[in-house]
Amino acid sequence: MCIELMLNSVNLLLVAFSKMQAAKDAAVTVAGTDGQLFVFFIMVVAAAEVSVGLAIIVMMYRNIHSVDINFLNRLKH
Amino acid sequence: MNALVLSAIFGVVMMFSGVVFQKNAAIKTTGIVAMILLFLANCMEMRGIKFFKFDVSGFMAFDSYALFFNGIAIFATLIYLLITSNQMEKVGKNFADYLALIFFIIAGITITTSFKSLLTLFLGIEIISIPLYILTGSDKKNLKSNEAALKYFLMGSFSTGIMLMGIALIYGSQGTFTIDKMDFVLSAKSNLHIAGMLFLLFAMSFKASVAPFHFWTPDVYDGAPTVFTSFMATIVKAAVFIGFVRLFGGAFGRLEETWSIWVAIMIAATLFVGNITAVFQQSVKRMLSYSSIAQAGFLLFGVYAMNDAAREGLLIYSAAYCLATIGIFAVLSKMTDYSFEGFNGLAKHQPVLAFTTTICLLSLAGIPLTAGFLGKFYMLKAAIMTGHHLWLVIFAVVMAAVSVYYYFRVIQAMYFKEGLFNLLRPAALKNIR
Repeated sequence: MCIELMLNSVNLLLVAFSKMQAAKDAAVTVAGTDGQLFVFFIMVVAAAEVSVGLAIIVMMYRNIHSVDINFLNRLKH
Repeated sequence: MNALVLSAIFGVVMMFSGVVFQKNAAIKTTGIVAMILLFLANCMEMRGIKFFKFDVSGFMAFDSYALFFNGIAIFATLIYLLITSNQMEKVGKNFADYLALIFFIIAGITITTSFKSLLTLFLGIEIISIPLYILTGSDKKNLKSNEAALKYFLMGSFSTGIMLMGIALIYGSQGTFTIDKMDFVLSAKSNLHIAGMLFLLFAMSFKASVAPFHFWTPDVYDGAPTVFTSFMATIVKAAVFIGFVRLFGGAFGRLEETWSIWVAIMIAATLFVGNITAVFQQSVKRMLSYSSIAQAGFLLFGVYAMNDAAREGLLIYSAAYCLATIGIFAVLSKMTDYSFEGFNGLAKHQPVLAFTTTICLLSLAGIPLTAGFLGKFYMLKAAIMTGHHLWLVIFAVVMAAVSVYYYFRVIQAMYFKEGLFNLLRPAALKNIR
């Protein structure tokens, strides 16, 4: 899913920035760790979000026996 | 802290109550009692009595403003449960789970209104959003509900991605997520910081359904079961705005010249789109969803003005708006026909119901002597006190006048048109009497 891709790119960015912070003040040993911690939170939230999203898609499939989004135009009027 | 911990615990309790109790009435009583306890716990924290002592400094700050708003949100949810829980039972079989999700959303609201770090802001917004996706799709056999849930999910997770990108960029420029530790001298010069701020502005506007990021709102509000639309459009939206104000007052307060013009344009666009489109709607439910976009424009004045008057006004406005909209949606969920014609002749057959609806509509339109008027007054006063962009205030007044038209269409239908008695459901009639 593209949403996973978006979130993973942010994870990568955060890890890169946290490495940058750690390099910036090398004297402080904990510098940049909060960026890496954030990544774990994003992973947890992404897992929760995807489980809900897949459940919604399964629910749709049970009703219309297809996951074609062209069926989804009932609210456009 | 009281409300946060207790609402999470009560959410789990409600989930198990579905297993323990067989009857919906028992579950409903449990839910309402839990909500009252939550309200009392929040009031106690305002008086300084804390049940839990965790060190959350740097992540959350339960100041009096946040606690006061939490009090309003919990009280409004209590009223909401008392009025609409009968309707909620009819949505599906999992009544206990709906209540549990509402408690989890309250937990998210308490985090969003009292965050001190971008991490907690993100978690709070997500804890609000994910249960809402489920509630939107809770009418499982209904294709409209499915479609609304999928659209809401896609839009919501897209805006989450944008928000995370903003947070990551701000982290890149500042090296911290904590708002108090941010370096404002540096931030004014850093392009990374400004870009991150704009990403966050867009993401928060998505969540708060501010134009030009409002496209999901009418579809989702229309497709979701009416009881949950009422919750989404009121309490959740107001909470997102409190988070919005805290974010832009705290983290980006010094950059006000950069973003205030963007916010001003967004207010104008929101008021225009919401009010003008609402005029052309045939269904009252859809009209109300556009009207909630228009009301978001007024709430956004709180972000724009960013002074004490605006903060107080936001509380008054959100309380008035929540109660009035919950009232109208409660009436709407008893109707079988959501078009304007469905309201024809309601005053003759249900005078009390029609009168309550009228008061709620007058409050939304901002007629003097109602709470909605006070809210609009405070918001516009705060905007005038900032001293620039007076055109915006005049535009808002004109748009409020436009809004009177579509609110009065409902009142006119109720009082001056003849209608059939059997448009109300027989079961609903029994409840009203």
